[in-house]
Amino acid sequence: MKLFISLLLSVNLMIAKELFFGITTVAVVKNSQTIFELTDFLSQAAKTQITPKFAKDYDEMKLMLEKKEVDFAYVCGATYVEAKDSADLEILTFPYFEGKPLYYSLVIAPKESNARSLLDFENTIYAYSDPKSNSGALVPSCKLRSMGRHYDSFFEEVIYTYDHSESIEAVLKGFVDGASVDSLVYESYKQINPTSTEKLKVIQKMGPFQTTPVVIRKDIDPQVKKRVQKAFHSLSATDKGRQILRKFGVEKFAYTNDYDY
Amino acid sequence: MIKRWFFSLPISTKLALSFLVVIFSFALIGGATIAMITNKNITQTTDRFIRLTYENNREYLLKNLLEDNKWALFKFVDSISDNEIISEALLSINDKVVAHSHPAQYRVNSLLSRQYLQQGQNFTIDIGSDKTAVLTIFKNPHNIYSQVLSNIKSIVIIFIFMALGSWLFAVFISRRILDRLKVASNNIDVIKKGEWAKIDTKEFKEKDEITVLLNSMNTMAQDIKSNIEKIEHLKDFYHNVLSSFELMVIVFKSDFKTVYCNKNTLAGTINTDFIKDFCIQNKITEYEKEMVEIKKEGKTFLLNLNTFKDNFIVTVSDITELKELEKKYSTTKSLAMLGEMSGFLSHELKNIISPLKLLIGAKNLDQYDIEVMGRSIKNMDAFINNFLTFAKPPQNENAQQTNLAQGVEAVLFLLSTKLHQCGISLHKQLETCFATIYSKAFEIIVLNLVLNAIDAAGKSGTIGISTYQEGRYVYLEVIDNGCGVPKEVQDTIFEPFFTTKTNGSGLGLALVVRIVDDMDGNIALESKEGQTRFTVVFKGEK
Repeated sequence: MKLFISLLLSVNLMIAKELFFGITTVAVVKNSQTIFELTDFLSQAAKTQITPKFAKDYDEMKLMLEKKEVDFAYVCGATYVEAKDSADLEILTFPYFEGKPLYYSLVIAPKESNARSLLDFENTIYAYSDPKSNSGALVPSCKLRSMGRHYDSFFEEVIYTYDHSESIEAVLKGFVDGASVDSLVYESYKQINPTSTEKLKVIQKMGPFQTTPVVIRKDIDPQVKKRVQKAFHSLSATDKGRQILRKFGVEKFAYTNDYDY
Repeated sequence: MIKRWFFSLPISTKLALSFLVVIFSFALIGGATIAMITNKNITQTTDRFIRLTYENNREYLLKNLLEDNKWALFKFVDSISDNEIISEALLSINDKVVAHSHPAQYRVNSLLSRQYLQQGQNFTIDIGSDKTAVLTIFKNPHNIYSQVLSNIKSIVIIFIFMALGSWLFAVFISRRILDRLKVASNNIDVIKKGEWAKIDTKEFKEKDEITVLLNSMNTMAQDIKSNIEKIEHLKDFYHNVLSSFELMVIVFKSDFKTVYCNKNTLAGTINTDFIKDFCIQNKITEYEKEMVEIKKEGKTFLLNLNTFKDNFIVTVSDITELKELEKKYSTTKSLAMLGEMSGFLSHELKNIISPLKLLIGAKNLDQYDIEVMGRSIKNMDAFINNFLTFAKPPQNENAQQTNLAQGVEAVLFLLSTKLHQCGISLHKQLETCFATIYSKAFEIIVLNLVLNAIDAAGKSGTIGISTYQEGRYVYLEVIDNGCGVPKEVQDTIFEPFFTTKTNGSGLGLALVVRIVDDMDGNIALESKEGQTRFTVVFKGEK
């Protein structure tokens, strides 16, 4: 009897337990309303209170995962690889874009720019997002390296915005001549600010790359994991959910075994 | 031209423009004053804001400068310049741009001139390693002009509302004025037409000059109505009075348009057209006054014309009966006079021939007797001659245009010796005037009147004689300063054989009357103690 009651209590506790969803601001458009719409939807769908927790960059998020301050998080591939063991993580689901869990690194510039590729930005002021961001820093640097150039000497100045959407803003304000940004963030930004993005153009598309996953700590209850996963996947099944996905520039969330980081 | 255009505008537009100009002028002055005060406050506020901005963000700036976080620094300068009081902001290290609020103009790492930096307010941040960062803030140049421009939309909207308000107010005021003026105008029309019942006596809330004018007009209209009614009443009264006379009364304008004609009994024989034609044909209206006899259809009418301003007032009366009476009277008088004269003649002749009768029976006639007989025959001869002269006064064959003054001068010449002998003081006022009369007969008139005057005035007396023309008529006046003709004999003085003189024939004045009458003239006597005046009147010639 006591066992039964304690089992029941533990189940209830498991159901009622609040989950913390880690969000790295570099990875999403800074629109708190949209984020709360997402967490509200997930809370309802998973029947569990899901509360967002923000980290400025991937390093901070990695630390939060290791310290178990967040239960599941939206991180970039590099962070997953780095923290997979230290934070004991597994992949919960992937965002899909144009039917695939893939995204690109975009080189963007003002509409009037004459640049036709990344190489046309030599001796210009260029924006990277987070120094560890794949699309926002690593991809363009690798590209230049493959041409025998180092980003430090190639550009006149590299400005780190630590945020894809801020890189977009930096281009719009004319502070930088171009920027490398995540295609998902760019799409999301376009949905929210259609008139601003009319002043921009995509110079080059590099990739595709596996989309940044939603990772979850392995020690979270499987039932809970399943419910949260199901909640993510149910976003594309409803009008409200699809509206939220559009704001993130994402078509749906789904799981695939076919990934490579 | 602008003045003419303004005066031709309707009242409501004039008022609206006037209100607008006044309100706009006051608004301009008020606005400029407020703008000046605001400008001063803004400058003080701006300086305070800038200082606080630097002080409150100094640590943040230092941190990001040390971390070389240019994006964060750009966001800072961009945010503080995004207001109305700061136009530009920049961070620089050793005159090189770190972040500028106009990144397109001032790129990162571009050099700045000292002159440019001195245009703003500079705040230094020591970041170590001999490097000094400078936060430079450029204030928005605030002046009244820029303030106006920045608020131009509000100003235009307010002005439109003011204009609308002014126009509505002006329409209201002008409507109130025009409504009352319309009432006044309508009342004037109604008064002109005499439609007294239609006068609008509406009361207005306003107690201003226009309402006073309106009330005065209404009072005046009532007075005019009352006066017109009185005049109409008087008109009827006098028409009835004039129509009660057996007299035709016509008033013509100077162009012979009939102004008035009474109801009269002469309408069957004489009408206004006949009178009008008669006056024109006979040129009667050439004189201010005229009296003419008209014979028509066996009747005689007397036309009397008087000129009054631009009107001719003509009265026509039927004197047919009067003429008949006059004729009868004349015949009766003539018969009476004949009887009198016969009696007088018989008496005088009897007296004259009585000495002869006494001498018929005498047997021996001496020289004295023959002389007596001779005197009696002579007296009879003289008497008969005088009588013959009276009976048939001298006449020219034709009446002719005679100068009265000339006639008088001729007679006075003849009497000059007698006048001198009598010591008579003679006063002449002889104007040249003409009448168509018998000139010799006229001289007889003058002679008789002057001789009478000499007798009346006596030795060293005074005689006045004058000829003049007044209107249609010419006058001869003879005045003496004798003792005058007693009232009781003034009516008989012109009768034949009447005399107050011892040796008078009594035919002198009777002859004068006869001659004057023959020449269609008139003679009048005015006499009192010390002055006797005989006035003879004839129809004159121009």
